[in-house]
Amino acid sequence: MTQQEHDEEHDEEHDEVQILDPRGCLTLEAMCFTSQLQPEQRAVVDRHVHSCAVCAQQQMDLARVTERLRSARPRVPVPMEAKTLARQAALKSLALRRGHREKRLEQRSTARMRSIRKSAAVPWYRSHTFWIPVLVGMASALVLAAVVLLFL
Amino acid sequence: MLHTMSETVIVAALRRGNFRRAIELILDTYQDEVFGYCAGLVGGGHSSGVYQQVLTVALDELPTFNGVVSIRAWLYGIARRVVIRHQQDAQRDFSEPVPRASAPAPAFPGEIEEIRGLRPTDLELDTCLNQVAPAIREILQLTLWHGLLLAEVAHITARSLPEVRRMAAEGLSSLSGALQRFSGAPS
Repeated sequence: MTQQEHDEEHDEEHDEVQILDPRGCLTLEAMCFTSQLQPEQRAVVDRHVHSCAVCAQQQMDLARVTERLRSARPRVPVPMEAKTLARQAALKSLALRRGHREKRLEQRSTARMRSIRKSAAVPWYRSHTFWIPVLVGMASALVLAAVVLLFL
Repeated sequence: MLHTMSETVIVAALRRGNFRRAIELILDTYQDEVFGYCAGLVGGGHSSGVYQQVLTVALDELPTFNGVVSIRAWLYGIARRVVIRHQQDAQRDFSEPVPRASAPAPAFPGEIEEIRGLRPTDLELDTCLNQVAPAIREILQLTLWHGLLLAEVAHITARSLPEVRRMAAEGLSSLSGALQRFSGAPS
């Protein structure tokens, strides 16, 4: 886990919004973006605005401003030609990158092969019959030793 | 809901290592809004180029996407970085100044603002929005215009969630006050 990920998790864990101020009224943070609060925090806010006319009024004002700002969002038409061009460029770029990556791997592999060829290396391989001549040799040595002992 | 379903499919494609499918899905789902976000920040003339850069960076960073935030927020984060870089480059180039609104200049270089011509049509709101600090205005725009969650905005703007929540609340409150003063209503 990176430091940034850790920090973000830490932030989310400690995103404790102060719902009520020392006077017992809702804080500004609790009144705005209430839908993004935890369910239990939302419940506290809802309960409070039912009983406090001042906070209810303020929350209503803020909601009105929020809605006004939201509806004033400028819409930017995206030209179809630009979209098509951007899409084609992105996919082409992806294909090129993939091509480059494969080419890089291929080049690395070729370079390695060349160095192996230069060093005249031999692949190390031990067959399952490797031990047979060894055992035969040892048996022969034992027989030879026995014969020598017999003649002595 | 649609976004959530698309996110699931995109993340599944990424986990399988199918980047082509992931990019196709990302383009199908988010192309319009990310393009619109870029166009809103840099103007129509530069939007295509900036959007291309966003896609290039997204392609670069796609294999390292860690799923800490949604694909959508991740894309907005990339778009924001590319736009900031574009605006900084344009500011350095005196022959091509960045189009500026009558809004106050950003307090620090990392802040960005929506430009003239793509501002809200509501004149009162436009005037009052200009009185809000650029950093707060950006948070409000990302939240209310682009429909991002506060946690996502926190990731995009590299701030903590409590800070973003506080700034958004203060922004809405001061905007509400400014609108009341503007229309002459008692505050």
